Formats: sequence, structure tokens, C-alpha cells
Amino acid sequence: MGGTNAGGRRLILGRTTKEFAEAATSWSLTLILLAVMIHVSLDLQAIWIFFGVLAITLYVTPMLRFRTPFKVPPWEIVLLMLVPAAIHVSQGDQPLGSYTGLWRDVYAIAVSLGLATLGFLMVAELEMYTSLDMNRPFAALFVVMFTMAVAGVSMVVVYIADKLYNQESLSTNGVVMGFFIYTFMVGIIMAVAYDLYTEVMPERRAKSLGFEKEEQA
Amino acid sequence: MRRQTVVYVIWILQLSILALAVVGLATGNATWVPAGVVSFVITLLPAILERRVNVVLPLWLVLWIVVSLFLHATGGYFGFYDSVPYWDHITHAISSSLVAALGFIVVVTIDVFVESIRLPRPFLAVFVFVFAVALGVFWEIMEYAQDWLIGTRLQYNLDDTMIDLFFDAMAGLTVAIGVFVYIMFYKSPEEFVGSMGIIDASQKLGPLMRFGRKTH
Repeated sequence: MGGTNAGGRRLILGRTTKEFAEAATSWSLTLILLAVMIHVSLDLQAIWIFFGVLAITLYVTPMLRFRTPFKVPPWEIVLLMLVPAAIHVSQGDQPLGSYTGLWRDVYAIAVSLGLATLGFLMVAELEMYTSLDMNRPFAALFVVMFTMAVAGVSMVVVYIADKLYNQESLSTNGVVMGFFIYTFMVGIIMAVAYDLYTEVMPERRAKSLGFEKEEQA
Repeated sequence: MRRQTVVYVIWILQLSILALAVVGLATGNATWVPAGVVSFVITLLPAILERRVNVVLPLWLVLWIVVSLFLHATGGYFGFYDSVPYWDHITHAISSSLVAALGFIVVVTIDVFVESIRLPRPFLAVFVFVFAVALGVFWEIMEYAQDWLIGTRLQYNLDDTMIDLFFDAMAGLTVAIGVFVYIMFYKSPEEFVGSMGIIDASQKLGPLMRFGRKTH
């Protein structure tokens, strides 16, 4: 298990302490996310099941592809994904259409934020683990578009689920449109956040996470 | 169908759209005149692109553009949106597939010409789907905003909005699958862009194509 590398640094499972800590933090946060997702999914609310399945899929895909538990998204992105789920749980797991007044807005923003973090993570993973290269405007644009698309698809999924199980969790057209508008705004904020995130990340960390590809250095 | 036949069909549809606008204006039925005029101008764009920057859009795409605008303009003018069941959803599916196709052309051109952007081929198909659904959602937001701001009644109810989006997504998915097969097995992005003649256009669009710098 332990050992040292050529530079005399301590190694855990063949990784430097820093890399190990990075992956371990990401993992622990993901286990929390998984627990929250299972809790939330038990209410059978399609939007959260949709969010949870997508989030966990995005999380495990790189690990399966590269066959190592160290290929995980940075912990701060997982933390970001926990925020909307936490807001949802704190409000007693109510569906979108059941709130009125201020909480309807807060809730819609929470769900939008959840979907936008998926866009954030998706673009980050594409940059980290594939040969794909984007410049800054394209990445920002894609974060917004991906967020909007996920919002659209998720609402259709919820709508179909509602029809199948005779529910009305979306309530009115106005609620859904308000949700889309929030998603658009949150998507733009996330796009800016993504741009700043990749910009301020220290070069060494960007390299070890895979944001910056070795051959271009 | 022979190429020239398709060209004639396109002309007839274009003229019909223009005719709707003129007749609407003459009979005082002005509600859909702006839409008719705008639609007609849009149908002229492929020809303008060809003249100005040597970009030759594939003929099937031009036909698709004209057909979807024709259905939109006639649907509005004759009230098909209200009287013909599913008219709204069919036009949504057609225009969404068109948006997806245009999204493909834009993204494949960016992929080939912008140095700081490199997109794996399967991603191009993913992009097409994402683009189509995202624009579908934007479209609904725009309708909603228009209803709210100037009191039109473009959106009926939740069912209508969600079925629109469902058709948007299905159309986007269909085109995305088509793009995937096309780009993986028939033509590389470079060949496709080359066949549209954008190679020449890149000279004229130079500064635009070099826009944006690398993330790192």
C-alpha cells in the first residue's frame, strides 16, 4: 500500500497523498449524495430520480471507462450538486407544483441549480477525460444549452410520469415556464462560474485532474 | 426526384409565403403579415449565402427550411394552429428537426474551422440533440414572454407546452441519430464542410472563425 516514489514523496495505492486525498474527498461527498438521492428517490418524484440517475451516471462513467477509482470528478463539483438536493430535503421533499409564494421560487431555483450543475459536470468531464477541446465561449454556451436541454427533457419525463400515474406534480403551465426561466438564469450563472473555475484553477491541479492536456503543455 | 424539380418546388413554396403576406395586407387581415414577410426573407437566406460567401447549403436542407416556414405561415394565416389537431405539434417537430440540422451545420463548421475547438464525432451528434431541445425550451420561453408582455395567446396550457417539447425532443433525437450514422460511416466533418463550399467562405469570414481563445 504505502511507499515512496522517485521524488521521495509518500504514496498511497500508487498515488501521491494529495491525489489520494482529492479522490477520497470526492468519494465521501458522493456517498452523501448517493444517500440523499436514495432518500429523495423513495418519494418517487420523477425529477429527482432523473437528477440522481444522471448525476451518479456522470460520476461513475469515468471510473468504469478508465478502470480506476481515482478518475473521479473534483470534490467541489460534487459539493455543488449536493446543494440543490439539500434544499429539497430540507423542505420535506415536496414536488414542484405544491409550493406557493417564495418557496416556489426557491424550490424552482434549487431544481434549476441541480440541473445546471449537471451541465457543469458534463462539460468538465468532457474536457477532463476525452480528446474534446473547447474554447471559453463555446464551453460557456454549451453549459447553458446543456442545462436548458436537461430541463426540457426532465420536464417531459415528469409530465409523462404524471400522466402514467395520474398525478399533477407540475400543476400549471406558469409553474413550468417559471422553472424554465429560472433554469436559464441559473444556467448563465453556471456558465460564468465554469469559466472562472477553469480560469482560477492552479495549473498543477488542472493538469492532475486532466483539464489541461499534457501534450499541449 | 430530380434536382431541378426540387428547385421548382422550393420556388412555388416561397412564392406562396409571399402571396400570403400580400393577400393578408390587401384584405386587412394583417395579423400574420409580419410573420409571412419574415418567413419569406428567411427563405431567401440560402441564396444570399451562396452569392455572398459561397456557402452552398445542401438542397434537401433548403427544401426543409422552406417547407417548415410554409407550414408555419399557412398554419397561422388560415388558423390551422387552432383548427387542425396536432398542427402545432407537427410544425414543432418539423421546425425542431430543421433547427437540429442547422445546429449540426454550425457545430461541424466550428469544429473544422476554429482551431481552439476540437470535437469528437459522437459529440457532434450529442450536440445536435442538446441544441434542438435547448432551442425548443427557448422557443417556449419566448412564447410565454410574448403572451405575458403583449397579451397574445401562443401557449394554451401545460399539456400543449409539454407535448410541443416532447415533439421537439423526438425530432432532435431523430436528427441526432441520423447525424451520428452520417458522420461515423459516410462523410467526415471535413468532407461535409468541404462539400458545402465553406472552405472558400473561411477566407472571407476569417476574423470571425478565429474568435475565442483556448481554455488553457
